[in-house]
Amino acid sequence: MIRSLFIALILATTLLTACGETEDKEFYSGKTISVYVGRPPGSGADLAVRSFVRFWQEHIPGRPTMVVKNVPGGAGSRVWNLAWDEKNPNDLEVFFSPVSGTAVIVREEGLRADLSKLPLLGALTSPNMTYARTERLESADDLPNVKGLTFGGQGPAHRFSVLGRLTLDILGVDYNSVTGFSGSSEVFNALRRKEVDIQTAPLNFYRFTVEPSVVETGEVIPLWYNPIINANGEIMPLEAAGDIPSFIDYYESVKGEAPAGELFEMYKWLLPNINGIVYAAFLPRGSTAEATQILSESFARVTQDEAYRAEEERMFGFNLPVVSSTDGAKILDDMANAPDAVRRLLNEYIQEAR
Amino acid sequence: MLAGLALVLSWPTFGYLLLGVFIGMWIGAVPGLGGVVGLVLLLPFTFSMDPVPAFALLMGLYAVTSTSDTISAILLGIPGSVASQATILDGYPLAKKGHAGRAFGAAYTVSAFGGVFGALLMAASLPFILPVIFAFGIPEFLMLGLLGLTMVGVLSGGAVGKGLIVGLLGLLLTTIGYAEATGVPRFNLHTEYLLDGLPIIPIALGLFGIPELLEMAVKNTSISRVKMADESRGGMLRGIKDVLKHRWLTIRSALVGTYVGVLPGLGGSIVDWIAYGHAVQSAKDKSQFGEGDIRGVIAPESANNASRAGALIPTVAFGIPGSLGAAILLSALVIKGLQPGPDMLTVNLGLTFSMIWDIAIANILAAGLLMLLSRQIAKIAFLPAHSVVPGVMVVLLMGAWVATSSMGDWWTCLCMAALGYVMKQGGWPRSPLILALVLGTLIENNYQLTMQLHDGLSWMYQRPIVVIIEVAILVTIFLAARGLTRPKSVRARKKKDIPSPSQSLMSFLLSAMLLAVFVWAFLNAKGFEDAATGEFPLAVLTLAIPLTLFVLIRDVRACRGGIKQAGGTAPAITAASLEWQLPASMRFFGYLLVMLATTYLAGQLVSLPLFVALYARRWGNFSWTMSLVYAAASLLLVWGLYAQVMNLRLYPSLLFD
Repeated sequence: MIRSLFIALILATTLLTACGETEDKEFYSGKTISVYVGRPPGSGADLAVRSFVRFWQEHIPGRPTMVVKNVPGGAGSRVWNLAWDEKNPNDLEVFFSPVSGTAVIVREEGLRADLSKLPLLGALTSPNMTYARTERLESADDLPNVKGLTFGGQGPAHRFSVLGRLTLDILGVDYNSVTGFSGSSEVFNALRRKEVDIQTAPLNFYRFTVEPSVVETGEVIPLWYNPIINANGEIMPLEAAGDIPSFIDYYESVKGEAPAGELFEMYKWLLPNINGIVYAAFLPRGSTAEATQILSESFARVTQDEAYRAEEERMFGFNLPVVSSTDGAKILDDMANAPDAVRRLLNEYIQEAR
Repeated sequence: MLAGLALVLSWPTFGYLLLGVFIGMWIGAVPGLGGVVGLVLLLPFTFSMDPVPAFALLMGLYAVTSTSDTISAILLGIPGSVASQATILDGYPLAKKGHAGRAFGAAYTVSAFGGVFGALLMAASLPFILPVIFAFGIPEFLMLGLLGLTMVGVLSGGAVGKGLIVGLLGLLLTTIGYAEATGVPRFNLHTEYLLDGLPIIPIALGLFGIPELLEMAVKNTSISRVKMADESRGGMLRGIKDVLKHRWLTIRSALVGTYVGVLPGLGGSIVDWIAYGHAVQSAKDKSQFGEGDIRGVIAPESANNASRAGALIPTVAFGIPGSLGAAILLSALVIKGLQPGPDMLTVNLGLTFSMIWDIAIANILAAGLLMLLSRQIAKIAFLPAHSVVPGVMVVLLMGAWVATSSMGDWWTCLCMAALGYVMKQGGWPRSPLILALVLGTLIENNYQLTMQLHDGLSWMYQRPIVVIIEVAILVTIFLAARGLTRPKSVRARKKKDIPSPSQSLMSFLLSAMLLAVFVWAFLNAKGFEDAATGEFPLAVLTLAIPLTLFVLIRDVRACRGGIKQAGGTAPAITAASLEWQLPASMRFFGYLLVMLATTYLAGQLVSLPLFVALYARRWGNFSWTMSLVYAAASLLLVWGLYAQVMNLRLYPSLLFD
């Protein structure tokens, strides 16, 4: 009798656990998840998120419908403020948008949200690189010796402007900085018109726009890519860069020594942070642990999905490096709690370009 | 080229093109939407399609939104999208005169022509277009922006001083939010909404649309102020004949549209204004512009469709998108695994030509279909006001909501509606504000970049294209000044533009308010730390403050005369409020404010149908049944179209979150 009761108890427990699991897995069945993106319809970030979401909904148990809603504003910070201010989280709202690392570090006006306190579902990064016109450079190695080149960038606090200027300053290049272009395409147009000599831009932009039109004709040469460093300070391999050296390798090859100094220390600190996360997805504060787990696991599965990876390769020319949730959380925490010295130095550096 | 045509005419490609045209016609007709929104909605469906049918669908949609957006521009005085802003200047007055059919006939004919002309011209221009694109550098863009700004004189009618102030106000409004050059926020009143600056669509809808709806509601008139029987005078055929009569203007405008569309960064938002300005400047008799001159419809409509083709070629052939819509098409190419660039002119030439044919055929199809429907559409102009106003108000407000999906869009729209109402009553031109909003950012950004890229002012005389544009600016200003000072036109204008006492009073109130705003902004801008942050707004305000003071003094004098004429201040105010129909107008704004408050409490799915029901029942005297049916239809529209199809984030209400 006792044995029968014991077996019945085990059976009941197993069945209940199974039911519970089924209920968890089916939580999203028949439901609609709103995915908020903080950029306008048709922007690069909007299209990238829409593409990801098409696959994401297939990987969530219960196959919910995911709809993308655009909430631009506050220079991209409104979407995070919405996540931060959400008072009645229902596990059906996801906030998936580009993260501006510099805005987080310098605590730009408008950003109220502390991203390190939001449940992170997953993150991707996107490498960037620097290239130059060849009119005054016979090879990439000539750069430190040429004077009066013009660097073109977006706003002074934009990560491409900051990284571009920093690398040129670390190398000791004599250049003029012109910032205030409204996007990578505008800088590139100015580069083609010979108004600008050097640009830092996303690697996919280089692959799709720059390489076929001006690199193959010899008008432009690649210089270096800014490496992605994980939260432990290790440089992540980047196959997509091909023969292009990382900035650190480039520096060593032209200067014959490892880079050093205050600016390089800032560069090293910034790399894992402003370069470490480019797209991130969060739930609002107070969302359930179950929803966080289901959505973060499914996010990770998408990044392994061959069909998604093929589409990503078509869109970007390579697969975006995935940021693990542990790394992502550490990066967000580091940015939110950046040392005062770093924050002050970065602010001053941005101020110089104004 | 013929291989491209064969690809388009093959099945199912042609079917997709037709589908794109239908969807594009519909999206373009709804104020606030437009080609970009349509492309984003359709893009995911093309992921699994072959390139040729996928682009037939996308191009079919994109090519025709600037044709069907004419409907709301002409019928309601509301720009259906950015591309139709200049069309309202003469299109709406034509509808008011009962000539909506004529305006449609002309608009659709030139739209079809412009689209086909632009596509073919671009195909022919491929070998030499790249040097043209790169001949225009940053200083040239700056000068083009300034040339566009000289249009303020054209758009001001007889009130040039007021037009200039409105233009300066528009330029000042573009400085709200982060300065592109320095990344420092300006005039944002510490609100998140204003950090990115004011979106143009809620401004245009509020400034033009709501005051017209208010007038219809208060006066209880149809859009057309003449009877339906008189419409035969202005039928579609007459519009087509107008195009034949003004064929050279049509061709010149299409040329302007095609080549301005090619220039990255300028694109569709400015092209209709440039074409409109050209129409006015090249006309011998300018007296009817702004009052319902068919040339004011022909020029912008020919240009805006041609610009779509203009923007396509550099996108496909060189990877340089001329506009946001073109940038989305570029993404679609990339997703299909195609690389923009030389391959599109060699290996994939068939696809490139198929896209050109898509534009040409879509424009012809849309024009034909819309002409078939026009007769029925034009009848809306004769419907009683109360049956039109609530429905259009819902569409207008949701159109404004598309901008950023925040209550800021509605507040912007309502503030601009109040400004538009005051400007209308005070005899202030409204169009310069929109023109300045379109050009302000372009001018400031290119000015800042020019000053960083070039030492001193040598660029002003060392660059041939800059010099040519400078001459064009000087000629435009000279002609405008001569037109203003010619004795004959001065007499005519004085006779026509003598303001009524009530107009002077409203004008005085507005100029006093604007002066206060300008002074506040000046003091604020003086506090900006970086020179590049404050330079542009300070330059604008340095001109705006004395000019507004001058107009204010003139208004004070005119007010004094009006008060004397009315026999005292109190009778003058009473007479003015009667003329403004102040109680009814305030009641209208009251309805809108209640609707806004209800949205905060209960969200749009409650507030908008409630507004429709209350308006229809209490103001329109509809039966309860009719009012509720109307409200239910608006609920279906907001929920079905905006929340479900477009996936807009509606306001999370306090009560029903």
